[in-house]
Amino acid sequence: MSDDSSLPPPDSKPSEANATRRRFLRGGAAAAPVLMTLASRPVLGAQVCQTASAFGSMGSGRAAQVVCSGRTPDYWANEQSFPSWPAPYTAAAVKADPLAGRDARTPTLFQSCFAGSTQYHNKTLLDVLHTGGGSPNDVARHCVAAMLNVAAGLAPVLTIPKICGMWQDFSTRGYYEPTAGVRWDNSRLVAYLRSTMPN
Amino acid sequence: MFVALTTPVRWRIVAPHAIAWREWNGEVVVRAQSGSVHLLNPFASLVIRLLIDSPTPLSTDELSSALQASVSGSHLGEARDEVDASIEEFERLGIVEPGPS
Repeated sequence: MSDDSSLPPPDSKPSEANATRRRFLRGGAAAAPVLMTLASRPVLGAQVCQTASAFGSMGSGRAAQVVCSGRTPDYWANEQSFPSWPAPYTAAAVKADPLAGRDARTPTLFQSCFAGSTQYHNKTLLDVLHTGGGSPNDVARHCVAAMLNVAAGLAPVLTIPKICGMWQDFSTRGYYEPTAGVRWDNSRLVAYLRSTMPN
Repeated sequence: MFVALTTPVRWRIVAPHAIAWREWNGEVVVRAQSGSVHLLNPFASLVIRLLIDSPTPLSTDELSSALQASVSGSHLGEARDEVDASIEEFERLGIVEPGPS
C-alpha cells in the first residue's frame, strides 16, 4: 500500500479537506461513492468480471469496470503451461539441478491449498485439474484454476481465501451462498468462475 | 428470551501492497490491483482511508462511528448508510473484501 509518488502532489490543506467533509455530510450524501473510473485498458483475452456477490445482479449502471484475464482448467492442465504456474504452486515434480540453481520441487497437493477438505485426498492440483465430469469435480477443477489465476494476478475480483471459502461451502453443503439467501449449485458456481477466465 | 447474535462482517483492503492512492482536497484517487483508477467522493475517501490505515479489518458500525466522531454535525444513521454504499461499491470493484472477524 503506498501513497504513490508517481502521482501529482496534493494541493489541499487539512483545514480545507475537513471543511469539505463537513459540507458534504451536512448537505446529505447524493453522489455515488465512486465518481469516475479510468479502467485499465483491457488487453486481448480480458473481459469484465465481478465479485461473486455482484455477479448476476442487474448492476447499478455505474461506469466502473474490472477486467479479468484468467486461464481455464484446460490451460493450466496442459503440460506446456507448467512453467507458467505461479509460485508457490507446482504442477509436476521437478528434479534438482544445482548447475541451474534449481531446487527439487514436489507437486502441490489439493489439500495443502484447500485445508480441511476431505475430498481429493493425496491428489495434486494437477490431478484435480484433470478430473472430468460434473459435480463436484467441475467445481473443484475450476476452483484450482481460479486459485492459480489469482496467484498469477489474472483475476483481481477474487482472492485465494474467497476461493477456498467457495470450495469449503460447496463441498460441505452442496451449494455456495454468494449473498444471504442466494444459493448457487455447481453449474452456477462454475459459470461465475468461468466469467473470470476468458482464456 | 432468545436473542440471535451474529458476527458483523469486517472489511479489509484486498492486496494492500497493490493499492496506491493520492488525496486532493478531501477527494481520493485510488489505483486498484486491477490497474483501474477510481475517483472517490469525499465520504468514500474517508472510508477507504480508514480501511487503509487500520491494521485490522473494520465493521461498517466501526467505520460509521469513526466517521461520525471525525466529522462534526453528522448523524450516525446517515453515516452508516453511506458507509454501506461505499463498501458495496468497493467490494464490487474488488478493492475490499470480508476479513476475519
